[in-house]
Amino acid sequence: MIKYYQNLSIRKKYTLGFHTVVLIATIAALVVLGIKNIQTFRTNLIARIEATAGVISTNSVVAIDFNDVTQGRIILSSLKDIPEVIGAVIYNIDEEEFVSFGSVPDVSFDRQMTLDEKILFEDDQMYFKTLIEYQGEVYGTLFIVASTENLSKQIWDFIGFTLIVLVIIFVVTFFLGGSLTNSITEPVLNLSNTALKISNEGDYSIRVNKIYDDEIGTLYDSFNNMLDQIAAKNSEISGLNNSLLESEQKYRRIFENATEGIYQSTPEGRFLTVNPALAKMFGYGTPEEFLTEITDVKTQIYVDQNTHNEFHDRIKSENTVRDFESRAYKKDGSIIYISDNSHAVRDKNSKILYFEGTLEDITEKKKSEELTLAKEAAEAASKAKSTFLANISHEIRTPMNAILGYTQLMQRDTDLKDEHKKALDTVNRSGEHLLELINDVLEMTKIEAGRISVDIKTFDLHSMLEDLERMFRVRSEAKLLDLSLNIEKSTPRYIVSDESKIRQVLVNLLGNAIKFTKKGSIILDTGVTEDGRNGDKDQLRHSFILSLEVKDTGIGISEKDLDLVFKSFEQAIGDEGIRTGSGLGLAISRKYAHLLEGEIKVSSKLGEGSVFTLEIPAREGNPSDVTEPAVKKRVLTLAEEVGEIRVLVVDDQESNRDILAKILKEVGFLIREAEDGLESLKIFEEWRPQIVLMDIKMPVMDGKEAMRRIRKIRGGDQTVIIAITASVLSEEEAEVFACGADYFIRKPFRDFEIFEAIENHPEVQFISYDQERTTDEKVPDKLSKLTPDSLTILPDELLEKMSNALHSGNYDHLIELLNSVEEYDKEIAENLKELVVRFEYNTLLNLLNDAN
Amino acid sequence: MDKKSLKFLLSFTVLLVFFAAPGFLCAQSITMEDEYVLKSVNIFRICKFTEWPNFSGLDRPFTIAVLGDLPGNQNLGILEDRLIGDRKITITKINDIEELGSSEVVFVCASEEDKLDAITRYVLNKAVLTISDTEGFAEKGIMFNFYIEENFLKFEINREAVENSLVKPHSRLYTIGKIVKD
Repeated sequence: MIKYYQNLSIRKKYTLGFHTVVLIATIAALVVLGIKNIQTFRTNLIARIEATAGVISTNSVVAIDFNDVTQGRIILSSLKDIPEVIGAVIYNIDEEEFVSFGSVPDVSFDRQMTLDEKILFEDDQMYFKTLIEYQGEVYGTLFIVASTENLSKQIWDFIGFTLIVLVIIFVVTFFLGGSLTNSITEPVLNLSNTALKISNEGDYSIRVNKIYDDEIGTLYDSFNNMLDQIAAKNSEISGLNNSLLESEQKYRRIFENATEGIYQSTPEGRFLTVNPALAKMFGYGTPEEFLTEITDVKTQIYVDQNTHNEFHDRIKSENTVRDFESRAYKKDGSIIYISDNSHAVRDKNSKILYFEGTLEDITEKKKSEELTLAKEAAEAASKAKSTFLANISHEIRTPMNAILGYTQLMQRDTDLKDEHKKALDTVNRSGEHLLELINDVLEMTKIEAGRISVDIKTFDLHSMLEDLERMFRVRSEAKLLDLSLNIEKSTPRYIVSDESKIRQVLVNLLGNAIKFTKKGSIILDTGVTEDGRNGDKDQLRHSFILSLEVKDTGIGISEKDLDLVFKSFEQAIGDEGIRTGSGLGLAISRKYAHLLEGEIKVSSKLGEGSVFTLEIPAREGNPSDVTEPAVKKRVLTLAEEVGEIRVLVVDDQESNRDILAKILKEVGFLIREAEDGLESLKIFEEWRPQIVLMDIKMPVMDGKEAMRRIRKIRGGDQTVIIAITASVLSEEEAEVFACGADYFIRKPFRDFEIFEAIENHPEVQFISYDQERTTDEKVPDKLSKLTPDSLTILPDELLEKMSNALHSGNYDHLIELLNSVEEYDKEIAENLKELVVRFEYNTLLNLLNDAN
Repeated sequence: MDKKSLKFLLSFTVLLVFFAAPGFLCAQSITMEDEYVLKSVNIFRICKFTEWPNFSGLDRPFTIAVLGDLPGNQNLGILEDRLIGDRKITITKINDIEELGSSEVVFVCASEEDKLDAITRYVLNKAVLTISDTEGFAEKGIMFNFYIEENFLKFEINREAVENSLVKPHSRLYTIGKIVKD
């Protein structure tokens, strides 16, 4: 029923509703009115009967008591004034009829008296009873019957009236309601039809025409307004659709043309989408071919299926996987390395829908990394070798101090027998050779470690060549070889280059020439090619190529060995199997040539001799820029005019004291020895030496403390103190100076170093012959970058550990610590290691202390 | 049950029979004693329908005084112990109106004809109901006076006398009795 009503048209709903409401309201009003009327009628009737009955009761008491029937009738007849009363009867106390009035229904007293209520309406009649009492005493009962026919008539009349009213109302509402309904439903129907039309035609430009300014009018406005908004939204959506389309096309282009592989795959291992780059990466012509053929990623793509499992586990737990590397099969079965950057796409319940990401072929990168690793390993091995050699060399150099020292000392003895002198010469030569060998090895390791720098300055080339000629003449004459120097006229006297390196190369070449030549000649030729000296001198760095050629008529080198001669530790073994030297000379020479941006070449024929040519770029120098080379002295003795010079040698090692004492005694010094600092103080006070040679590390009292105390002794400040130590690691040079040292000499020392230091004493004067001193190597430029500030990036703890390792001489630990420096700065670590390899322990220590 | 109570019970049985008959039947054949029983019953009825001021709550019997002598040595003893309201009736015999005391009713016998004037004067404006059964007494100021007519015992009422007293008989008594002085 409700559904039927709900599905009716609005017009019918409204009409039905309107009429129903009017009908119900009218009926309700009439029913209420009717009930009210009935009640009024009844109340009225009851009131009248009750009033009359009361009077009758009061009045009839006496008549009943005196049995005065006449009076009783008179009294009862007063009921005639009530037209509805049909009859009445008074019963006395004995329930016998006393008097009656009108017609009383033929009902027994008992029946009448059993009426439950005082008043009863039944069958168009009203029954009324009341006791007749006086002063609490009951005299009888009054029973009255009244007709209610009037009431029924009234009710029927009322129903008839109601029906008439209803008909009238229905007719009125039919006409009035119809027009009212139209005024409401028509605009609604109009709106409904318009909406239907818009819906069918999709034309949002249609509008409804407003008729009234009531709520429906407002609804029309809202509807039209809504249509405006829909039209605007449509336009906006259309625009957005176009943007989306463009965007989709853009991303489609990126997808299609990307160089990286892009994919989407199911968690079960099936690709959903791949771009052409991905298909190509795996050797497939098209994405379609790839998608058709690859149905299981795990088995068809992954070489190692555990890798696939790991990828799965990670993307499930972390949602995103970055740079996940794995090996994959291509279509042809070859294996490539791929890097996967993917993430999982999940639904709102966090269930994985698919993975999407990019794949990159990193095979080339991987190979390159492997090569880099191999290279680094090789370099590390090479470096380890260099370090090893450096350490070994250092360990050899220390005992060499004793060997050479004693030899030199003994050679000073003029009383030696000839055979002893020869033996000593052999020992010394062997020692020198060994030292040379060690120096070569060290040099080579330095070169290989890139720690050799060039020292470019102006020098006298002619002088240098002549000096070399003099040097080798003795040896060549000893072998009856003809040594000649031909300086071409165009060769400038002063050139700008690294004198030391050129000299070293020529020493090597000439030495080899003499060594491998039994007869004939050795010629040192010079020349200049690519002469550019006509240009601007200042701007032309490579203004010419200096060519230095050493020709010999020696054993020569076979063609197959020509490639080997410049390699480290290789020697071309000639027919006669000569094999001397370190085998590093030519290798070092070539390295030097390269350092000077030049080249060294060889041409040779076995048995006919060899030609080694050194060609280096150089330019002409200014004579005024030439610095005279320092000379080292071969001290013979103290000058005669010098008085007594007392030298105190302090060292806990007897051999060291012995060597120093003997060298100095030879020259003419007065020598006393002390085993430790304390003893030195006693001797100093007693003997007052002008010079003290002080070892630093000693038992009882070390050199530093001894120096401090000597300086405090009166006249102690006049003394020259020379600190000598084998291990500079545990001694800081600066600290040694601070303790009062004037000079600082490292072991193994050469005698001339000692003499140079002593010569600084004003009273000392030697008689000696000069000998050219070899040029010291310079610290590579890059080491100059090492400053205490640059070390502040390292933790204090690490600096302190390195410092402790240096002090305790624990080199292995020091190397370990330097390796850990690489974590902070690779360059600094390398430079620090450089200092260690170079035995620049004091520099390292200074740096560490300043930084800490 | 004593003799008095038995008599009372019998009298009322007669009364019931009497009431069953129309009117106050008073046959000539009835004895003097029956007559006074009938009169006693009617005295009782009149008293029932009459109001005295300050009637209820009094802690004394409702007293009917018999002034003078009833003929034939009759009495109103049948009324003894019956209730008027909540008070029991008692009958006293007085010889002079001055002895009336607080009696509510005085039955004036025919013997008092000479003192009638004094009696009516004495009860004037008092709450005393005066009853008699002597012809002419109503006209002379007695309020209720019994008489026999056509074998029926009837009473007449001196309305003036009633209105000059403080007692109020039920209005319907006026419709039953004959008004002699209005």
